[in-house]
Amino acid sequence: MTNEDIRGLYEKYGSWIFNRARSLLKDEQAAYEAMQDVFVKVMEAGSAFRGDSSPWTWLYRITTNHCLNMIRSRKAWKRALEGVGREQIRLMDEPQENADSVLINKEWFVKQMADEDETTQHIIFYYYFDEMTQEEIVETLGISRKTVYKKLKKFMNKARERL
Amino acid sequence: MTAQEQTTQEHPQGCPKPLELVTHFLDGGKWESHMLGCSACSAQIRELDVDRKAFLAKHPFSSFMADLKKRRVPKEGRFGAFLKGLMSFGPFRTAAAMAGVAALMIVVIGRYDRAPEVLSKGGVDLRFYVAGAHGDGHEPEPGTNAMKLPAETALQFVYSTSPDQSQLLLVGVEQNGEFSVYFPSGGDESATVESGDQKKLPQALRWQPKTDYERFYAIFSKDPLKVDAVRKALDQLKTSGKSIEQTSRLPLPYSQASTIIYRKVP
Repeated sequence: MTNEDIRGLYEKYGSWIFNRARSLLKDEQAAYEAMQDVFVKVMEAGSAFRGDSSPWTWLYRITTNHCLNMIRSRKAWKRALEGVGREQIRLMDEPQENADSVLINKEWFVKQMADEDETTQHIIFYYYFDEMTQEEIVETLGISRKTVYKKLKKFMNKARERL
Repeated sequence: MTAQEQTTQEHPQGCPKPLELVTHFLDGGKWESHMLGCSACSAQIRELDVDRKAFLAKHPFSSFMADLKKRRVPKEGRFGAFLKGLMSFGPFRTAAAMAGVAALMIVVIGRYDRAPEVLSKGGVDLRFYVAGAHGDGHEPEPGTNAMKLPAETALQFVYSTSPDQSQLLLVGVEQNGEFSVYFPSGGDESATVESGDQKKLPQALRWQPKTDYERFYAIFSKDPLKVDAVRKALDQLKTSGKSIEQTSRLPLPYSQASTIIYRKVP
């Protein structure tokens, strides 16, 4: 990958990688470093990256996964989700369209989410806050559709019991 | 609040989702006709453009590259180059194939340069690098939690810890509950490590999972920690019926960091 290739990607997508990282990490310096990490991955991917039909989708996925991996504590999750997504979350009975649902406050939701394992946290983040479909989550996290469904359902059941 | 953050607020019906809006701004696509008729979305697109220009004025490409070069490590002495050399050595490959190389331990020279600010929160951390993720000749790539990797992948773990938690025990627990001690190799208790940010463990390992996943736990303590304590904690987990996949923290009163890796079936 030439310097000009990198410049092109940086000038087109750099601000979005940075904004995405900052919106999750709530820290300018950490976001800047996260952006650097993402570009290191881009350079390492080289020609494989150039062949990608949708660079932004790839960059978005790498950036978000990278940042989510840096968020571990309940406090960090709470901070990360400030200003991201809706103030009320529609909690469904099961991960299917037209399932019965109830609207709950984001704060309560985040509290429940913070107690989950990391994979579930990432799935929940993408599903509720990024409004991704299950198929998109499968592609983004590189895990099976069955795992995504099972983890979402388990979380929904647990959260509904605690309501 | 940036335009991107604003776009994540509830969007009117019929308008693109926040991510779709950004994607449209960057790469164009199916929302073109919608943009022509929607003043709210058009206004957001204009703000996105202003944001990008402001960002580039603050962080021009030249300064970004200068900062990046400071953080990147020279090729020579890197784990990838070392590993590549090792794997191209015929007798080694043969021996590896015959013996299965249960847990190949590789002494790694050099270090990964990382900005020291990462540790400023005073916590502990565990990350890993994957060698050859994009084929031979590529630099090791930072691994991510819940990543899928094929068996035999070479992993290099890096940790962050503070001086008052300089005892480290790194264990891996598989889906079936079996566990292995990866650091220190041998012995029945933790060992002292250098404190700091993104410190490389002295040895890399070749990952050889027997089940679908393995979760790695780095347990940091002030005083030496016996492996038996981990065994007891795992028994406790087993009794409670909680799976390792769901357990990012073992029931032990020490600072911990964990990461899970799933086995990619070819």
